[in-house]
Amino acid sequence: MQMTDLPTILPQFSTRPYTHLIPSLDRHGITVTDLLSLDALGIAKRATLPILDLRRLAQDIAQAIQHDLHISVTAHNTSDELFTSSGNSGLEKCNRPAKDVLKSWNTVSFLDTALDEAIGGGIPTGYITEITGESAAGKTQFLLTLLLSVQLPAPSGLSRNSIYISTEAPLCTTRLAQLLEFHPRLAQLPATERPSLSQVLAIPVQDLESQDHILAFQLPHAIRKYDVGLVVLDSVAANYRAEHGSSVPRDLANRAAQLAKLGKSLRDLAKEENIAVVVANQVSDRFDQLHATVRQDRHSSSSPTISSSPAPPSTQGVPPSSAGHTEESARGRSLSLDFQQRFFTGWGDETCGSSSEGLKTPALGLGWTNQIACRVALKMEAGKAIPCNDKGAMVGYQGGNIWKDRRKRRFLRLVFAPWTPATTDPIEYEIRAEGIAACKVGNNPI
Amino acid sequence: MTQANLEQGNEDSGFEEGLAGGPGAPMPLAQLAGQDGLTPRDIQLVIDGGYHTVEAVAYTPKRVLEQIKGISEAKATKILTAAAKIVPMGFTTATEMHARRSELISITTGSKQLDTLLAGGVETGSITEIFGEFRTGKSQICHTLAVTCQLPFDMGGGEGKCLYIDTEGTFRPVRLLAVANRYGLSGEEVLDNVAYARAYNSEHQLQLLNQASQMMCETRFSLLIVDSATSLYRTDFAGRGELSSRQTHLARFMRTLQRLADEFGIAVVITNQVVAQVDGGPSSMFNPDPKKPIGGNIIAHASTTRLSLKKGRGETRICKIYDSPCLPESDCLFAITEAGIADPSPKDLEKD
Repeated sequence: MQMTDLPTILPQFSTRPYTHLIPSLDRHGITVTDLLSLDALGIAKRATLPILDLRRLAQDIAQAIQHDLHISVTAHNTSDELFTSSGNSGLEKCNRPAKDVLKSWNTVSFLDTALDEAIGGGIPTGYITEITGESAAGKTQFLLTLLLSVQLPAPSGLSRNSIYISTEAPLCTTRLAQLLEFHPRLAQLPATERPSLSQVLAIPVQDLESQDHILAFQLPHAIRKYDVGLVVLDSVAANYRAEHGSSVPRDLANRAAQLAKLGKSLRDLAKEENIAVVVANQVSDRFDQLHATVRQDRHSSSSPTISSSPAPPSTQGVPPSSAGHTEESARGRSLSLDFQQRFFTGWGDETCGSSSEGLKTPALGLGWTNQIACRVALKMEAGKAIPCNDKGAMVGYQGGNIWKDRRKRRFLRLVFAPWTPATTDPIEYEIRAEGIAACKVGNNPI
Repeated sequence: MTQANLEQGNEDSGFEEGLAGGPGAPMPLAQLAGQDGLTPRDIQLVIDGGYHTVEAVAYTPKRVLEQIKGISEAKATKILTAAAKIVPMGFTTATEMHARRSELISITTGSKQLDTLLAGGVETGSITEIFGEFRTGKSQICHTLAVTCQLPFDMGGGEGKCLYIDTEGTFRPVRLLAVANRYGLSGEEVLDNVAYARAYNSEHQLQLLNQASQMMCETRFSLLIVDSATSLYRTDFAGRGELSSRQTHLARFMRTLQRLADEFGIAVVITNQVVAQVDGGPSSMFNPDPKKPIGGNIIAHASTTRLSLKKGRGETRICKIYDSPCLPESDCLFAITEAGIADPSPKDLEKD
């Protein structure tokens, strides 16, 4: 059964294109069976032959045998056709003119002009958008609004349904009904055009395993079946934070790999079905000593080398010869994650000198940040205006932080997005009974 | 052979009548054969593995399917994809949820004002967190709820038992008797219906939840109280070095609570301590006495409703909604009386 037996197995097979392969195959005792059954790479190593030629030879022999036996030739052809046709359609997709892409730019609105403008017209389809913020900042309120607005016709929505995947608390339908009733834009619509709760689908997932299961197997079908235009995952972090340790580097790497998988499957869904995917993310507190020092660096912009180093005790009294070293370390620092993260986390990059206190970082780290296209950060700040009565005494309960009875002020900030510049001035918004709304400029809430 | 086996399987699972019957009837797994290149042999392997219906497969995690002999990862993916096409599980419309939610019971706190603030009382199916300084009434609310959850539905109760996990040793059965008296319940029975467990460390605290789920399978519970959820974490984990593992553990604890709330439709009430905020910053200028709940962002994100308590005049306390998906930020007064939580007396309300 040497390669020389090829003529006896397939007498009509033309070996002419492969004459340079046959001798070496013979020498190493490789039979036709070997060629067909073993991995081409292994054979190529053994006989020191180019792998591509070997593959081609194996393929040709296989085809010839199939042809000889009158089996599955048609099946093979069809699968071949399938391959080429799918390849072609893929190519067509690639060659879509930009005009079409522009036409298919659909967005889902927050139902508030100022907030929509801040994120470039609304949440677009085909991307993963993340809304992050601390507890009670209003993440879920934004999501609930989107669930309803996606049902509206363009330009506010997509006239499609929505899916809400909850990992924290179940979908708050009472609030959804309240929005429907009181939101100025929704309430004025005639009953037939108004979004309805029956077009919002919800599913709770309680652990990572069922989350993966739902996202991988159930979601794609549900999207097609129910004509869904918006998928909301609230929140992406809850299950990962509980089930993955994050103290050992290996755990973190593990988690990042899983997140990459999750991100890819969501991205693929967003692209293929042309839907908007919006995820909520939790935050964690940031501990960086570096922050304060770097901030000062930025402020004293004149000479960033020596003068600005905010004098950690070690650098004091260092001879000037080491200035070059300091510069280098400053540059190294400015490339470090601690420094860089201000540009993508949404916290710490304020131009107005807000303090370093209360800095947050969206959960799941850089691994997840790389998966999303757009990040919207919601911030909460205890209002600076303290309600005073006419005698100048403070009204309200005395005591702890949250007891100051000051209204919390909330701000929205677009951190990054490929389609629109990040917001420089955070937009203040309020959560009211009728939904979220941006505060009018100059109309300072008390 | 397949057919015979299927019938056998269906008999086992109690579906003797109507193979592939009307709508809603379970579908035999053989339906999947031929889809996505699934051969009858693959189907047979899965059936031998103990899964007889499409539904059963659709609800099974991939990892478990892979453990069936002869089923590779790729095959398991194919089977699940095919099953998902037929059984789109779990997605319910918000209308349905809304209808179900209106039937959802809330457990009265004993104070009408507080109930109004909470739109009926402590919600079942979600986690309510109560935090405040010492003697602001956290444990008192817990004690009152432990009794009111046993009341019949029309009195604002949950008609179920209460599970009380105590970490600080503050549980006082005498208080329960006083509250039981107020509602005219037999003290003996009320105490019988409260399952009490003392947790001694954070690991133990998590283990108790597993036992809790066993107990809840056996009898109807309507309330789970953890008083307090975070105190053991404060002592078991020290310093920033262990912060990460503490928060992960805490997150797992909160997930388990949420799962219990979902599975058994119980109300989960946890209490939380507060710490003084020492890091300064500009906000402390406006804030002579800043306090914040501990547990950080993990607790903050995990609890559905967060209530902040503060001491008021005399026996009155003030409760403020700190975070809730559906309740507006507002506050109200309630009172701690001999018989648990109640409305404040009119004179306390006067000059508010």
